[in-house]
Amino acid sequence: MPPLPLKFNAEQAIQELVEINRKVLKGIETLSHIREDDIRIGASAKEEIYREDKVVLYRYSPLVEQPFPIPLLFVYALVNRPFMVDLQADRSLVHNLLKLGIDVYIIDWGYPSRGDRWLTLEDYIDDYLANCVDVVRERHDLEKINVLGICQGGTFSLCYAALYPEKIENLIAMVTPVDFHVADGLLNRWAGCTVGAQSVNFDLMVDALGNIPGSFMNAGYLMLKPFLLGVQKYLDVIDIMDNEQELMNFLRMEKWIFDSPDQAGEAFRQFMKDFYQSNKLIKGEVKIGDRRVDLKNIRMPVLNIYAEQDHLVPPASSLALEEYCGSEDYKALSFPTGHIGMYVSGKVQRDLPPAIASWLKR
Amino acid sequence: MEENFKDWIDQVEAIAKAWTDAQKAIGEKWFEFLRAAPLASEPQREMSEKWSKLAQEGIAAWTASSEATAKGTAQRLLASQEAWMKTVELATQAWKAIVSKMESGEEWQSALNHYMDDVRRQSLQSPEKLFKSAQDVGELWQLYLQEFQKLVQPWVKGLQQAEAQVGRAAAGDGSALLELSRLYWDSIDQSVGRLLQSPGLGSTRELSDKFAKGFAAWQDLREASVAYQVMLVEAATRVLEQAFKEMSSMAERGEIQSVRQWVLPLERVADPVFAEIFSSDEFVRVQGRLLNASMAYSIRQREIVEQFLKISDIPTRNEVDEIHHTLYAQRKEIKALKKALAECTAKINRMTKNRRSKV
Repeated sequence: MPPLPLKFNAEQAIQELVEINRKVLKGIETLSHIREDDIRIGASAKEEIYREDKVVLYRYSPLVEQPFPIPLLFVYALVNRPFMVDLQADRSLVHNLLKLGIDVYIIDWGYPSRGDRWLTLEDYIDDYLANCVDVVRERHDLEKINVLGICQGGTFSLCYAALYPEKIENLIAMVTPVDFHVADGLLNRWAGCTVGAQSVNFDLMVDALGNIPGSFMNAGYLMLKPFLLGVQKYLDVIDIMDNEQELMNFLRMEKWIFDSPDQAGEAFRQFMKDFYQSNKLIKGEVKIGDRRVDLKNIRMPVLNIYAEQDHLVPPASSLALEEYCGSEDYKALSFPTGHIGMYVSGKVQRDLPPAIASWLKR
Repeated sequence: MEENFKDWIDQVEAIAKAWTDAQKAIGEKWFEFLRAAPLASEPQREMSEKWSKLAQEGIAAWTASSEATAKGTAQRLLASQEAWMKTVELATQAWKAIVSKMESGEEWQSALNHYMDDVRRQSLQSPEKLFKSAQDVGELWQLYLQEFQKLVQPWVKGLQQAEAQVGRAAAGDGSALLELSRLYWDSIDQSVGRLLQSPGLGSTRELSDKFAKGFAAWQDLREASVAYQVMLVEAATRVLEQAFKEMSSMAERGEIQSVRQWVLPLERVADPVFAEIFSSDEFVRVQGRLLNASMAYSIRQREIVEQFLKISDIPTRNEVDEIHHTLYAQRKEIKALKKALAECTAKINRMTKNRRSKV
């Protein structure tokens, strides 16, 4: 006789249900008392250094008396806010680098509004980013500074470094897409790396929407893992509902995820068509303004950091940098985590900051 | 053997019934809890059997003054719990259906395949039905106009009610456009053929053309939506199929010791199966078609709405974009001039400094 399929009875099922409901109710009660201001993102103190239109350059307050003389400028992606790198004190790449004596700056791209619909990649890379680099160089009286670009910000940094190699001492690319036609990336496929314009017509999209709403972008990212990000995550949170500290950690992450700025229409159009659909970066065909981006111009030392389980930027996409850049001092470093785990995983936060700091100080 | 199958069904049914009854009972407690909550505005008098609906409403009121992140999380949390409840319900149904087929001598794999075919057929019934029922052009046109009426209602209403507008319209071009609103909302929808076949005349011509193009874009969007829905149903069906297989293996190994573990296979297989389907070129094309049709429709929609905005002297989005573009270009020019000025100033300062040092 085959055994009964379920090794629990009705009474146990009810107990389990009661426990779930107890936790959910407790969680909702806790949530109802939490105000937006309680969910603070950005643990480290910082001051505004430079502002241009909606872009702000911040300098984090050093935590050592004599920071490393060459500062490090963080260049984040346009999607989501840059403060993921400083989510909370015990999960902060910035905080850990400051403790290791690195002088850290960060660019906040701001929230583009309707009036920013015409901003192009030239504005972002050859104007805002270029001006921020110059401000930091001037403040420290240096010819060259260190740059750390993350995700799309990494791609921007590569473009900038190829255009202005004389201004960068060391370049760090973190979870940065380089070869956009690596087919095992779902995002790459959706954007058309295999079927081209039969996927999404980005001209039509920008013409229809102007700026691309952040919520629209978010819906796309959630669809990459619909069950995990739409259902599973919230089932799992039931287990931490009665732990206020863990709940706040969860909410900080939620706030960051759903705090998505709109994308300036023209810059989005160019990025999706030239980088995702035509893969022009590795072909040397990307043009910023009237200048061609040649990755071979990147001859400064390069540290390429990627996540082994990255579902947004497949490792192979990042690793392509070695083949296309001109640096002879190239090093790749990987971590057994995903795209977001790179900033918040405890293990990564233990190993990544010292790896960056020692590479910069080598 | 039959007795064994009966035991299986009895056990699953008993647990599922207990689970559902308990959730209903808890739902009642939810209501009391939410009614007593500090920020509830209008406590409902009637008890709803659907606890999830009740709880959703309660949360909306209860967290009315909570801010985005906490409220959003509460809602997603509840939605997920509901999804879990539905998963248990689905698993129970599947279990019963599959075991019944096995009871009548069918193999496990074959029983599962038959069950999934049923699920697929039932899921696809609605979009297919919807699509077929709306294939008649006249019917589609009616639906299209209903949708558009909602969209432009504020302007149409404004035009019909505001005396000043009516007066102006009667005296000038507006009269033709007012005529149009009647034409479109009351008459043309009943004579589609005439509209589509005859060339427009005078001031109605442009709007006729916009409506015809809007209709074509809307029809394309509907077709694209159906194709996308079909693919999603296929994906979801495959997820369930894989999950049931895994549930069965776990049950055989005696690993299902809680409700949580019962639905665990779904958690494990869902995203890998979705990822496999989502990465196929076919899905990418279908999804792309939906997105592109949606954008094309949005552009056509705007063209029509802008006609109404123009009548009311309200700036259109294109006009606002034009202003922004001018501002953007001027801002760039000013930045370039400032930069050039700074470079000139620096050059002059250097020259002056050099001259002084020579002197």
